[in-house]
Amino acid sequence: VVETSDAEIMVASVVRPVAFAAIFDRYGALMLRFLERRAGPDVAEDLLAELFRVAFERRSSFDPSRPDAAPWLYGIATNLLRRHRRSQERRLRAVARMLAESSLSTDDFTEELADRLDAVQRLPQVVAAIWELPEPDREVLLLVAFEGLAHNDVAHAMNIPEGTVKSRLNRARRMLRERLDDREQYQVKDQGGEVP
Amino acid sequence: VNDEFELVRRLAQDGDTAPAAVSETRRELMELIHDEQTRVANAAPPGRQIVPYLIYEDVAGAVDWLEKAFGFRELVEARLVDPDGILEHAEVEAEGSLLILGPPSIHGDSPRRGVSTMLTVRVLDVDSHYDRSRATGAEIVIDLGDVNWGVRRYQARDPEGHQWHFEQPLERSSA
Repeated sequence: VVETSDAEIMVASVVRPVAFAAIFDRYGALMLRFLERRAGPDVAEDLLAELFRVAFERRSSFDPSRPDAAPWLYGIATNLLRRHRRSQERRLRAVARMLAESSLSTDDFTEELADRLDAVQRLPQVVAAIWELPEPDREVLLLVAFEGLAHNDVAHAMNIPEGTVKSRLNRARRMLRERLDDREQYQVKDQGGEVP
Repeated sequence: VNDEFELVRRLAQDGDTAPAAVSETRRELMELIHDEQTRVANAAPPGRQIVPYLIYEDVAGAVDWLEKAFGFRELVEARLVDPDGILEHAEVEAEGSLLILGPPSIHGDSPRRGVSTMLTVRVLDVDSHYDRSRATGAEIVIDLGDVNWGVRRYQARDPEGHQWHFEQPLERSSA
């Protein structure tokens, strides 16, 4: 059985719109998860409908040389998310807080757990650092870190050269590291307890 | 944890959206798609989207009579004869349009006895059409399903008793 490619479906859907239903069936759940991770369940449910409405209306502009429609959908979704920055920020803060709080409720304390706890306790700081990134850098970072997209898929999603994807990722990593290092130094000083 | 991206990855959390979110969105999308499909279909050259199905006690006799009296022409290749030699499905062309003739059955009765003339409508997405009919409260006479003459169909009765038969040609599978 030869699976019909996304590109074939997209092309067919121009003259035969019902074909587009298969694109939703392939990617609807994936896109809902993506939107939820980024902006929370309420915004995700609203944006899912908008995402596929926009994609359906733009189906004739899909580049049929790309076999896979997912990067194209991620690109449209990323654009739609820009109108929901506050929901995005709220979502990431809530997740960081939730993970930090649930990690405190355990009393099975081992060294490995201590490491994990340490990481989890830093998540609110990670969120703050993510939020200080320029928007294009943040979008590339989250497509890679949350969705596991390959660099060339990110490039296609955001309509930028692959080299730009790499430079944005490098910049994001550098800024995150600096920000978290600052935090560690601060904690060490704090533990000294000596206030001049 | 040394990798900054690994920390970022931990913030990817799923699971709070309503379980029906995907299916509800699909239903809305299918309405939009269906409207567009209708628009595209209507823009195409006129086809045979509505096919009346006339019920006769004697189908073979009716075909002869219609040819002789009205100049209709039978599409002989569409004939279906049951094991007893009774003609149970015939198609005739009338001025470029298609009519189907059949004996009394679940689709209706001879005009001598009751509801006649089932209207067959060829639609482009019979599944969403079926959902919509049911949601409106149509009485389903034959449930949605594929049949071996190459269509996916269902039959519904409207509030006054007319029989409607909606069908979509089955696609040849690429398997």
